[in-house]
Amino acid sequence: MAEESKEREFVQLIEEHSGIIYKVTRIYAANRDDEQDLRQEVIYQAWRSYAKFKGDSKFSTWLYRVALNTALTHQRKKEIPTSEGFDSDWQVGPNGDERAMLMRHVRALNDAEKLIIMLHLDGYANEEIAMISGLSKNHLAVKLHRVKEKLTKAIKEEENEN
Amino acid sequence: MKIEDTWKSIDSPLSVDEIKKDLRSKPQDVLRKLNKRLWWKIVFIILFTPIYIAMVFYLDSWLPQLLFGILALSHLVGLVFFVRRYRKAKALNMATENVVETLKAYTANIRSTLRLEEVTGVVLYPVAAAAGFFFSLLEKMTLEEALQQQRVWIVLLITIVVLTPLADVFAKWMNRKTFNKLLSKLEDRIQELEQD
Repeated sequence: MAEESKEREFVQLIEEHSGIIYKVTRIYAANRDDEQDLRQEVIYQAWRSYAKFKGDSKFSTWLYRVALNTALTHQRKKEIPTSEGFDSDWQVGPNGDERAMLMRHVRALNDAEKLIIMLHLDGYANEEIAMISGLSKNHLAVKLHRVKEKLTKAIKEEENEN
Repeated sequence: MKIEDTWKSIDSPLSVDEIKKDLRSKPQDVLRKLNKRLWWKIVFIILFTPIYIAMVFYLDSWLPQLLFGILALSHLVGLVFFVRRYRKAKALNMATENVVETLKAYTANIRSTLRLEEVTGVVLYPVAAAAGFFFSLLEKMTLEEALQQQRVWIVLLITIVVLTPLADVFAKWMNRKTFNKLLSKLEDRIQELEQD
């Protein structure tokens, strides 16, 4: 009974924060199949670790960490190129092209850069990003500056081309 | 484009049904595969140890009894060792700790477990070969008769000299086949993450 209510509580929390899982899996997966595998892995790992979650940090921070760590250890399905349209799902609705362009450029970064920029864009403070990434605060500040510059430059170049 | 605003507009909520379905799935990632293979080693020890113990009681000659006793005892020690290593491997929480450090600790744990198993094997294969040799020989003659014949000692020596390296090569090949590919994947991942 206690297990059932714990599971209900967990499912509800995941539902509320599913945007985190969505972004992490979309950014780190190689294609749609891989994205589904990674999502299953993230939810499975989160459920396995949920018993140890004591509420020392916000649930969203904890889930971000679980999702990112799972994505970093996840073995991507190789030899399958990124599926056609994988980056263009956001083209629906207002500013769809911008979303697609941003996701494409974030996906082009290396794994560590992706982690830093995602947390930064979701409003995490440098202390929290340093804690999650395992980098020192100074190293993180330098790295974050470089990644932001790299991303902005790539996006501007594409905007100018268009 | 305002990057922050565009980023915040990206969302695609998961339904309760999707979450529940993922919760029931058991994804086969590398770590779980490795843990499973370690678990199979424990299963084999559990299956073989009672046979060695039974042999100690079944035989009525002190030398094969002693040899099978050594095998049974070392398997019991091995069982404790593997269970501890398996629990250690499962306890490493990749989801909430530093990924690189945890991956390093994980691969080091598995590699050292396999190395220790292989080293112990080299000591135990001659014992196992001798135990098997006397077990079949004592069907035909008594131990006292066997020990007095020079021919028996020579054949025993040849058996040990031939079987020990063969068993060692086979055990190493099995470990390479079942663990090495997965461990190499993890080590490559560690390298990639460190380079990033």
